[in-house]
Amino acid sequence: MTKKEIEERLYQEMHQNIPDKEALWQKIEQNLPEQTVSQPVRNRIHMSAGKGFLTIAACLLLTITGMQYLKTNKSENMLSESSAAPAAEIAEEANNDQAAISEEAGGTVSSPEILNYQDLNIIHNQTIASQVNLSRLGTHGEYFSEDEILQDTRFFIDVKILSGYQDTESGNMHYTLQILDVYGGDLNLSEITLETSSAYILEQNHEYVLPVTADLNLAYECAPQIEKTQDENLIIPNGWYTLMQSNAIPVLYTSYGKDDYFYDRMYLTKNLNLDLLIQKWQKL
Amino acid sequence: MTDSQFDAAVEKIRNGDKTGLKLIYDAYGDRIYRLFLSRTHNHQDAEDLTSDFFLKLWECAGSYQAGSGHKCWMSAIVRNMAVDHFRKSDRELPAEDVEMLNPSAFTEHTTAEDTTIHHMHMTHMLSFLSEEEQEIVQMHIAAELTFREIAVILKRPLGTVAWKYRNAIGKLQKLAREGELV
Repeated sequence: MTKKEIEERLYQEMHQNIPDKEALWQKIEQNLPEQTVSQPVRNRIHMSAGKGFLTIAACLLLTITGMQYLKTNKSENMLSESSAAPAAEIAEEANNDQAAISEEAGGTVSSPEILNYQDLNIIHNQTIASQVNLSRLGTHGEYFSEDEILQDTRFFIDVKILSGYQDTESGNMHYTLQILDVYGGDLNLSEITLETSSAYILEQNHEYVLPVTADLNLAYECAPQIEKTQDENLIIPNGWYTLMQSNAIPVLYTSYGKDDYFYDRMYLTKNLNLDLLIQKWQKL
Repeated sequence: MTDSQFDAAVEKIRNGDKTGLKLIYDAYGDRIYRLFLSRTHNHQDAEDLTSDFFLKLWECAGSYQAGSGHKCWMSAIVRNMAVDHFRKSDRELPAEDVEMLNPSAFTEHTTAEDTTIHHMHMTHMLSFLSEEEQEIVQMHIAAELTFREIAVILKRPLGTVAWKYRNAIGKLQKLAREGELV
């Protein structure tokens, strides 16, 4: 059984046993004691002047960043209820990430600036995403591990997405890719098609660097892929630690599905080539 | 149900209006039941606990802080109730469950029908996982909570939750594979 089949089996088993809801409600209702009207608990806040100032500053940052985010996020309707992480939290996580990177690189921690994906130098379209039934795409329980992905990778391909559609039967996405460059061997192909259940949409006319297996499937489906901006920067999930730099900038990425937990784990790395990653991969 | 819809329902409860509780029951009754069932493996216990949960919700609605994340708040109640339930009952698993939990049981069944039976009870295999792994799988699959929500409830980093979930599914896959190979 595959991991996906295990998940599906568990889901079926856990969801097949549904009680008689009406009977259960009657039982609950009969036992309800008379409600004494109560007031909501209000936390008493004791804080120093310093803490108060910091809190106000954090609220302002949250409000401003949140407004920018809402203003620029054109796919708001796709955002799940659970995915609206506060900017302060993202900034904190960005700080932690950058501290770790900086420690490894021996650099200094820069203050976390946050960029919106929609503000980056890419073509802003949702040609494919707007036609997709996201709920039919795969689950995303796999944790990102650079080493494991590299083990599964046969080629890195630099591609431009020509088109994409969702199979009405399987729910999977089918993409036609124009191959711009290949790392790790010769493919002698100018175009390939790719089928994936990944909920992270590859958008038309966007350029990506995809790690793929020998049979040209995505080596990892459970995260956004490495995307190139038009000014030759890379947008990467923070799991690609070999590509992360101490000056990497957090990017608020568009969230699609309810289990999309990379929307606040994307980074822009400037003036970077893939050499370090390719070298590491070739040594494996 | 959004936070604001939940807040409105809680406000009704505070005012003694049962329709507020019914709204929450309609939205989450199944999930709460499944969460209890996945922990107790007993329909009657799961029903009783679900009933107790909503009675508790009725009584402690005043302690809910609007906007504080209702799913996490409810999940914390479920969690505490499940722990209390096992503490109080200090129960042992029924004999048929014990058999299902015995790894050697997998090696004793060879027919396609028996294999199917094992597959039908994959939820029992969760008992091979650590407490935390079980909880994460149950929350994610039975209660349909996101990893982010689970991370908040368990006070664990998001990456750790996703990592443990993945390991748990990997372990189940291995167990299922061992059962099928016989």
